[in-house]
Amino acid sequence: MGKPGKTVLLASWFMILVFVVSQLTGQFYPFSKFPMYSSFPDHTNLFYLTDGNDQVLPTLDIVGIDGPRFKQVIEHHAEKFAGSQSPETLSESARESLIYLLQASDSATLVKAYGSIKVWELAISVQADTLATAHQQIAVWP
Amino acid sequence: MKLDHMLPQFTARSWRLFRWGYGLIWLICVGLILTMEPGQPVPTGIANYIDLSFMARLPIAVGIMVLAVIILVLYIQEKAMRFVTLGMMVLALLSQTLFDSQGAFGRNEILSLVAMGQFFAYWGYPWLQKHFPQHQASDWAVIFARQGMVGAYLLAGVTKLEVSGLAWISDSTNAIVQIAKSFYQVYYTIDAPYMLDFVKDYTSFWLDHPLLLIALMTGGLFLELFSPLALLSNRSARWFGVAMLLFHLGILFVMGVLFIHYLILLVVVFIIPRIRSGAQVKQ
Repeated sequence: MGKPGKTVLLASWFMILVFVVSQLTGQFYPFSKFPMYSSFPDHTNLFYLTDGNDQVLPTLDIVGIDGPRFKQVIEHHAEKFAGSQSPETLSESARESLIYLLQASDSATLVKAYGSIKVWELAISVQADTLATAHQQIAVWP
Repeated sequence: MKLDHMLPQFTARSWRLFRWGYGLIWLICVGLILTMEPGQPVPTGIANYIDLSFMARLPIAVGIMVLAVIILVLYIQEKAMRFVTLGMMVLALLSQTLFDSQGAFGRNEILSLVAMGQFFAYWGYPWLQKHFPQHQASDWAVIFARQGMVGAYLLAGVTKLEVSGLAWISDSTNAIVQIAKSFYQVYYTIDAPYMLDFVKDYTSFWLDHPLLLIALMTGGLFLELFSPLALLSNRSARWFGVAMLLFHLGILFVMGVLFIHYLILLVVVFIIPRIRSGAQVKQ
């Protein structure tokens, strides 16, 4: 290989390696296909917490993590252990994740004061050029 | 054919700033094991085969951080770089895999890819020196670090087309639901009722200006798809760094999503490095 060939190869080989290995492995840290925002469906969702009277509770105070992370925990858990993100598996995963996080985040005293904690799904969509939202309870503790 | 501009050589000052910037962001990211946020274990990557949770136990986590500080000091002083870059790569891989195995992804892949690029530069230097004697190992460290980041951006662009095709561009008006979600998340995370009015007003603006949203999103997609052009010369790398930095700031403004380590790495890896005088390359 001549010098121009070596130059081009050395100027790009690691990029090519990262690209090819990531395509083959998918999500395998540090390799990834970086799928964030790879599609834009007209709907999305998030999960949040309320007390037994349906008053919103700050997710960060109750389970020790923020909303985006809470959503990922529920979805990844459903995907990994139930193999899908169907309403049933998400509901089961939400309850299991809530119990696990309540134990892990040392918020037992705080939680006792609320009696029960509910997990809700907020569905967000665009309908006829307007934003629409729908709330649905998907899990409750205890 | 003169292609020397594709393999720039950098000033000692740029390389020093690179080491300070990257070294500190690396230490902060490795330090996440000390303040591991609670999550529900969902192993990813090598954590599917090795239980890495021992790293977060306090005595071991403190030991790892002491080791990380020693590695950082050596890195900044540019000592024992073959072993230092090996240590940086291994610690970044293990700590970030553990972090990503708590049920949510930290999106820190580029941190490890930059470490891996430097590792290859120092371990491959004896061979590289034979063929390109005027280049120092540090030149290759910057060149390969850039390639790692460009690979990540290119993947992000290609994945968009793989998943959605060109419809991604027209569908990007639906980003409005992602924008709403981002700000609703703030409301539910800290119980901030004032966000509810803000979400309504802010999403109304974007519903009224769909073309603006398409332009921003399409600009980002083109930047990702054409990111390999950043590898043509140091000048193109710096332009790419500035353009991508502005894009990330645009995403912060529009969607409230910030990946601070991406911003720092863009500055350190693409914008700061300057060609050293006397280097036999065109800038």
